[in-house]
Amino acid sequence: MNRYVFRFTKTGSMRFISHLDLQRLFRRMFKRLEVELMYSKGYNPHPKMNIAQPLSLGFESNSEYLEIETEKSYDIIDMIKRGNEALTEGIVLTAGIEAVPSPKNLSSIVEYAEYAVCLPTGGLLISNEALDYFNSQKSIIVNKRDKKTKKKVEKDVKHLIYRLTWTQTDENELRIHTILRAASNEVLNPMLLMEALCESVGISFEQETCRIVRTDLYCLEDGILIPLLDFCGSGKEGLYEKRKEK
Amino acid sequence: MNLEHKLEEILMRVEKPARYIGGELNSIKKNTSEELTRFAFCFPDRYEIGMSYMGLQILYHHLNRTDHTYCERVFAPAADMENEMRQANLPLFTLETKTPLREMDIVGFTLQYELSYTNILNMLDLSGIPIRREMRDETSPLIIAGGPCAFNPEPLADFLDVVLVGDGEELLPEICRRYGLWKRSGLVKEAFLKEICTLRGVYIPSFYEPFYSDEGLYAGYQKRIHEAPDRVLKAIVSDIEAIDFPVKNIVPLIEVVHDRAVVEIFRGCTRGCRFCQAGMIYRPVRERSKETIHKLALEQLRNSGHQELSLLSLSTSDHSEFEAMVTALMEDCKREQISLSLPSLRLDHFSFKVLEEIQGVRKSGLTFAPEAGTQRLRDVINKNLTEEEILSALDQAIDLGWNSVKLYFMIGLPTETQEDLDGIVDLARHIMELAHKKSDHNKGRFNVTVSVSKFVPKPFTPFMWCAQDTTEAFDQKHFYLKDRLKKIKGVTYRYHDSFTSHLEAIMARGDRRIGALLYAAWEKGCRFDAWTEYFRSDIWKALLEDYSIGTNHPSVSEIPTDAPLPWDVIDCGVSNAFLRQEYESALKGYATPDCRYGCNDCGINAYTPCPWGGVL
Repeated sequence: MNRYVFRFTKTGSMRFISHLDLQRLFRRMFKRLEVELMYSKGYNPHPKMNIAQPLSLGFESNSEYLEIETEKSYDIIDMIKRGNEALTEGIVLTAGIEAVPSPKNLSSIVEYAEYAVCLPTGGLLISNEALDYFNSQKSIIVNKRDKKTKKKVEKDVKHLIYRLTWTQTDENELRIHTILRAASNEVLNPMLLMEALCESVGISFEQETCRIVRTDLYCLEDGILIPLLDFCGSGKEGLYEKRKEK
Repeated sequence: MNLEHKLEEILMRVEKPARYIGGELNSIKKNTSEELTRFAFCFPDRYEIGMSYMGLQILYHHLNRTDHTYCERVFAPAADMENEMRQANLPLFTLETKTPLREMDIVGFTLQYELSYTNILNMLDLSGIPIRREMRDETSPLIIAGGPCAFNPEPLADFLDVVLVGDGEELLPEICRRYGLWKRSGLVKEAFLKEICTLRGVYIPSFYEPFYSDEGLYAGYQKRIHEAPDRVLKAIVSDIEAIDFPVKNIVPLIEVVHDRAVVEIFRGCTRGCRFCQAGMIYRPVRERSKETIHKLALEQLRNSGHQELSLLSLSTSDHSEFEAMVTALMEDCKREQISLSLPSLRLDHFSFKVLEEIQGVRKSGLTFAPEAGTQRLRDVINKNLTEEEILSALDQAIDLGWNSVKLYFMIGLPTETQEDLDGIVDLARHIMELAHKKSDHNKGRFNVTVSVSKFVPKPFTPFMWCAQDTTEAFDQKHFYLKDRLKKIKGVTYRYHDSFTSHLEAIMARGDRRIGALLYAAWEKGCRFDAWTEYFRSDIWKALLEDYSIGTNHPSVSEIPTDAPLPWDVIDCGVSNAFLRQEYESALKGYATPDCRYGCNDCGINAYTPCPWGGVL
C-alpha cells in the first residue's frame, strides 16, 4: 500500500465551494490522472481519500492537506504536475510527499490551525491596550450556535487559543495572526473569536467583510507545533529532533 | 466599489455561492476584444438545472471554437441572490468574465419549458435591459432565443429581437459571425435583422404582425418587411455524425442535477406518439455511429473525470447499432468503474441483460411509460406498448430481483373515458398480483409507483387542436384515481398540480397577446413558476381573470382544424396534412406504425434526406 500527502491552496472564488465539492473535485482529478485509489470494503465502498480538516465556506487557505492511499505506486512530482493541469484556478497542489502508511489519518492528528485575518475597522485605530485587555482576560466568551437547538450559547474559549497577535497598518484594517485549537473533538472557528474581539474593542463586526486565510495546520508533539506535511514525511523523527534543538 | 468587490461581499451571505463564481474546469476564458462577438448564453433557471442541460454544452462548444465569438454563461439567480443584487444595485453578469449583460452583444435565452418564461423577463430586468423590445434602442444587446419552445415563440414575441428555430450548431455561430461584421459596418440594427431574416431558421417577430377576428380570435399574420420569408422553416443539421460534439465539457464545481458525461446518440424519433412534441419537431432521426459515440464517450470521461456516463436520445434502444454499442461501452465502463446510465430503454431480453450487468445487486427502479390505461387509448395516442409487454417485462424483472416499478400515465388525453382511468388502476393491480404470485422471490415487498401527469396540447403535434381538461376535471379524475389506488397495498400514487399544467397550455399554444399576461405576472413578482415553492397560483389566477382567459380561451379549448394557428408562421418540416391525418386516425383509434416499418409521409424528407422509411 502507498500513502501520499499533498498540500494545496484554496483561494480566490474557490473559497465558495464546500468541503463536499472539494472532495468531488479531487476524486475527478485522480480519475483524470488515472491514479487508482484504494477503496474501503463493504456495501458502499469509498475511495481512500481524505482532506485533513474541512475549511469553512468563505475562508481561503494556502495550506490545506489531502491524503490518498493507492495499491500501485505513483511518482509524486508527476501527480502534482499533471494534477495542477486538471484543477481549476485557485486550487493548486503546492507540495507533496510519499508518507509513511499509518493507521491514523490526517484528520485525527490535526491539533491546531493557524489563521491570518483582515478585519476592517471602519476608520478606527484600535489601541494596543484594548487588544491586550481582550487577550489577557481570564476567560474569553464567544456566542456559539448550538447545533441541535440552534440557540446561541455562551462558551469560554480561552483554552482553545494558542496564540493571538495583531498589527494595525492603517486606520481601516486590523491584521490578526492566530493559532487556534482544531482537533477533531474540539475546534474554535476564528469567526466566533473575531466577533468577540470586535465587541470587546468596540468596532462593528460583519462576517462578510472579515477576510480569513488559513495559513497552516499543525499537529503537536511534546508541546511543539509541527506542520502536517513535515510530520508526515518519512524523515519525521529527524525533523522533530531539529525543531526540539531550536 | 466595482462589480467583483460587491459580488464578493454578497457571496458571503447567499446560499450556494458557487452558483455565481464560474471558474469551472473546461470553462473558457478568452481575451475580450472589440473584434469578438460577445454572446451570453442564458438559461432561465438555476445553475444546477442549466448545467445539467446538454444543449448548453453543445452550443458553448460550437460558439467558443470559433475565433469570432466568445460565449459565456448566465443563470437565473435564486431569490436570495436576486434580493442582494437589487439592494446592491449589482447588474446580472456572466460567469466567465463577470461582464454585465447589458454590455454584451447578444443575449440568448434557451426556451426549454414554458414555466421559465417569467425568469427571462426577470433576467432582462436584473440586467438593466428594457424588457419590451419597443423600449430598447440601438445600444441595447440583441435579445434572441431558441430551443423547443421557440416553435411557438409568439407569447415571447414582444420581448425578443430574433428567434432561432431548429438545430443551433450551425445557425447560431453564423448569426454571431454576421453580427461581428455588422457591428463594424455602422448600419442600424434593422439592417442586420433584414440580412439574417433570410437564413433558414431565423424568425424576426417584429417583421410579422398578427391580426385577430372581430371575436378576438387569432386570424393570421401579415408581413411588415418584404424580404422576410412567408413561413420560417426550422434549421436542420442534416448529418450530425459529421458535426462536432463537445468532449471538453464544463465540469461544475458544485453538485448539479446530472453530474455526468453525456453523448447524444441520435436526434429525433420514429415512433410517432401523438402527444409528443419532441417526436415531431426533432425529425428526422439522425444517428451518430457506434464508433463515434464510443470515442466521444471515452474522451469526455478522460477530460472531465466523471464517474457516470449517460446516453442521450428520445428512445435509447432504437439506435440501429444499439446492442453492439452498449456491449462495447459496458466493457469499458466496468473496467474504469464508470456507472453507465441508459434512460428510455425498451425492456426486452437484451435490456435486462444490460441492466443486470450495469446495476448488479443495487437495483434502481424500473420505469414504464404506458401513458394511458387501456389499449384503446394507447392506440389513440399511438403509444406502442401493450399490457402483455409490460407484464412479461415485469415477470422477468421480478425474477431478476427488482422490487419496485414506476409507471407514468397522462390524464386528460383526447377521447379519454372513465374506463381509461379504471385501466390505470387495473394495470397497477395486475402488477401487484403478479408480484404476489411470485412472492417467494421478494417476500411481498414489491412496490408500484403510479405517477400521473396532465395532458398539455402542444404545437406541431397531432393533438395541437385538442382541448385541455379544465383544472376541475383534472382534479375530479385525480380524486377518482386516488380513491381507487390507495386501496391497493404497495401502490404509491403521485400527482402534480393541475393549475401549472393549465398555465403551461396557455403559454404553449398562446398567441402574441399572452405577452401582456406574462409581463403583468412578472411585475407582480412571479418567478420560477416551475418550482412549487415559488409558484404564485394566487397571482396567476387573478391575472387570468383580469385578462379573461377562461376555459373557452383558444389556448385551452378545442381549435377547429381549419383555423389559423399562432405558430403557423413557423414550419417544423412535418406537414400540417400529416398532423391532421394523424389526428383523424387518433379519433378513430387507429395506430400508425413506427416509420421504420414504412414511411408515413410526414413531409420532413422534402427538406432533408430521411433514410428510415421501411428499414425494419
